[in-house]
Amino acid sequence: MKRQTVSIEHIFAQHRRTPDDLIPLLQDIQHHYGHLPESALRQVAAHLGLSSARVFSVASFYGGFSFTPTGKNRIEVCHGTACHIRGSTALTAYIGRTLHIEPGQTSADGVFSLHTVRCLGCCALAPVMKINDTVYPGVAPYDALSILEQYR
Amino acid sequence: MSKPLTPLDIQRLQRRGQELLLPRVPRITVGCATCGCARGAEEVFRALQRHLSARGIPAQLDRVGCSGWCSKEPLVTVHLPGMPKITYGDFTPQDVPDLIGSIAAKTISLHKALYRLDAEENIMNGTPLTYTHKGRSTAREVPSASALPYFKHQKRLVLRNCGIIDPLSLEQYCGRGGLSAVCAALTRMEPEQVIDEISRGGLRGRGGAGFPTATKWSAARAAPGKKKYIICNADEGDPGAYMDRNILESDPFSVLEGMLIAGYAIGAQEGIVYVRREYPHAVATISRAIRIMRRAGLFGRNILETSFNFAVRVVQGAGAFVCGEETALIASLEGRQGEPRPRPPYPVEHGLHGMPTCINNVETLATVPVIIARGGKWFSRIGTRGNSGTKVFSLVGAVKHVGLIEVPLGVSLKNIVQNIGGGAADGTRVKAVQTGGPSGGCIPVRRMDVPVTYEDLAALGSIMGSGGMIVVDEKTCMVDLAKFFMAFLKDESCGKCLPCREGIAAAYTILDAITRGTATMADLDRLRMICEALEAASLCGLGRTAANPVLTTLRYFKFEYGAHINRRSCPAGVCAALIRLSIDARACIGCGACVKACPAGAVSGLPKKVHRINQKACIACKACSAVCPVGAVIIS
Repeated sequence: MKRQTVSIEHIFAQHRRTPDDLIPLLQDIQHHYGHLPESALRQVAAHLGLSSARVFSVASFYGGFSFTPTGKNRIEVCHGTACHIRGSTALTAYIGRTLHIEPGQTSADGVFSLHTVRCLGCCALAPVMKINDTVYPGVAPYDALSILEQYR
Repeated sequence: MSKPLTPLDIQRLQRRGQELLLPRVPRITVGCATCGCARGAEEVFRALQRHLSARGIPAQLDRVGCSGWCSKEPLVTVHLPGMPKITYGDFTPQDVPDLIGSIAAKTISLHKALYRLDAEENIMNGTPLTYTHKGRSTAREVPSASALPYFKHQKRLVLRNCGIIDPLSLEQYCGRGGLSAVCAALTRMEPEQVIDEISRGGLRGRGGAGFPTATKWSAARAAPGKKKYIICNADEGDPGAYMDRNILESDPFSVLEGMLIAGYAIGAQEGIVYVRREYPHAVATISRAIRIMRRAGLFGRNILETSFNFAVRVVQGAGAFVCGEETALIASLEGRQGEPRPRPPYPVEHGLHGMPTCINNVETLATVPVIIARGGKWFSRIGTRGNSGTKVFSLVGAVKHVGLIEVPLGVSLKNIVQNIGGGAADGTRVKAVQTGGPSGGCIPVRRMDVPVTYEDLAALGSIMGSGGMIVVDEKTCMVDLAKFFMAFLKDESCGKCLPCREGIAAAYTILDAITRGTATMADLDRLRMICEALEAASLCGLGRTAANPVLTTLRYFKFEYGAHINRRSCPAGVCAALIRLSIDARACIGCGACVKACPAGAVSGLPKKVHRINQKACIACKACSAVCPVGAVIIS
């Protein structure tokens, strides 16, 4: 995942200054910072002339936004229908047990955060898991271990 | 910006594209969409590139999208001039040197050859394309695509270019007849004539509801407004469906050409592609395709030397399933929470910023150019009366051949599962097919002779939906599947209306109790009552159809519910609270694989001695069962 120190003013400059662009703006901030820091949300509100409550309500509505920093590597286990019937619940449970975290949490060493997602659209390869930008097809729980090792 | 294209330029592009698709040198293509890449297509591509340049073999190597046969990825197609096109499956970098060797010798390699293509029809104008010339190798050993059940029952209009063209080559798109439809519409047809043609074709919205596209367009055209919008709904949220992802990744220009025609027909000046953020490759491909069209003057002012002006941009979703609903999608585009509002007024009258807004699904838009090019009458003869044309489905789950398929509407579900899908995967039996995602239902195997039309699927309690078709076997628990959809919808309900917010949560609680063995038969009556309330009183389609997965499984698989409640057993061996994993002392060889695999430390045993599972620590993830070399783990 890309983590650059880009100033928020630089991000503002890439977007139109209208409430229409609130979501693309938040997406861009999350892309650069890895999550949505509270200070950034307040700056966005001031920049667009919206209340902080409005900005926070939008940011908290959508599942794609996160208010806490994520781990160095983002694990996404697909919980779409095809993956579900091929055992993605067990896969998530397995990874969670191995890393001692629940979905939505980051491992103590900060190397991994575990997330479940609603269908990555690779249903023919179920169950699938994505780490950062790489999609892994047909992952049996035990296989996940050796894949995770590559990111340590 | 370079000089905008004229209709004459398009004819030149088409000729140039044909040369690129049928070059004088061998053409090699690799399917590099998301699923192909997950199976190593990129490594295969690079190996081909390396070997071709090392041996100095003149050839044209293209990254193409996905042809749909996902279970055979990575897919490589080789076309030697004058010979049939041969497609290879499960291709690895290790297979590359031999393939390159035979290409150098101008012979057809048979290793891993899946099928051959001797000829096909150019869908956009009906002309035949013959690949095999007299006196050349015909590769009879390789089965012909037209004889393979997987392809024989398909008809590919929407997927016409997928896996064949470089998705970002406007020339190659034109070489298959692309842009001829928009050219005809803009220069030779009035907007009303365009709408009439779509109406004659009988095209219905492919996003799920099946509303007549021409009716929507007429309403948007008639609605007053100083600005009008076309939105391409690519927020493909149904879990288990990926038609739109593949179309965007494999043939983005077909969608953009459809948007141009739609924009012209309703009098819109702006188009927006609203695409899921979970599809990064699709987002990148469609964005680049838009830039290419803009540079060619196909978006902008005075398109094709007419007075038509049209601009398109991409907006990414932020991860809310409900935004597939039209009014929620518009709210999201206006920077608000994605909450639906009551309709009417419909978006075609009062949409984005209060202006007339026409929202069409990806597949609908990709179909539009074919109808304009071939005529509505031609299109209406495909499929059945009232259900004309073709539909793309993602056929996945427990069948031999999983992938994206396209069939004329009206074929039977059985034909799709048995012939195209090749029937149940080895050693299993098909139990049901889930169609329509969380708004759809489960159709049992005994009703599989149903023709796939909007109305026939609805009569069975399911829906056509956007095209997810998940085949399940005896290893899938229907109660667990219903619970899965309820859990999904519980998370995705926007919370605006009470019936949906509370109803889905209450239904989930009951289903959860059933899978834990703590429910009673009286709970089933309560579950039914909640489902009725959801259908009757919810604000938008999410809540109104949420009961379908529960109602259809209750209707066709009541005995499974009964087994969970009365016998506290899960016949499919899925529900963790009701199953028990143990080791068969007679079979166990004490190899220790299960000890290593168990994440909960629940398995113990000395080497070469029988192992045991501590029931208190077991999380029922079945990792031990998956790694056991002798099948000694018993699930009861």
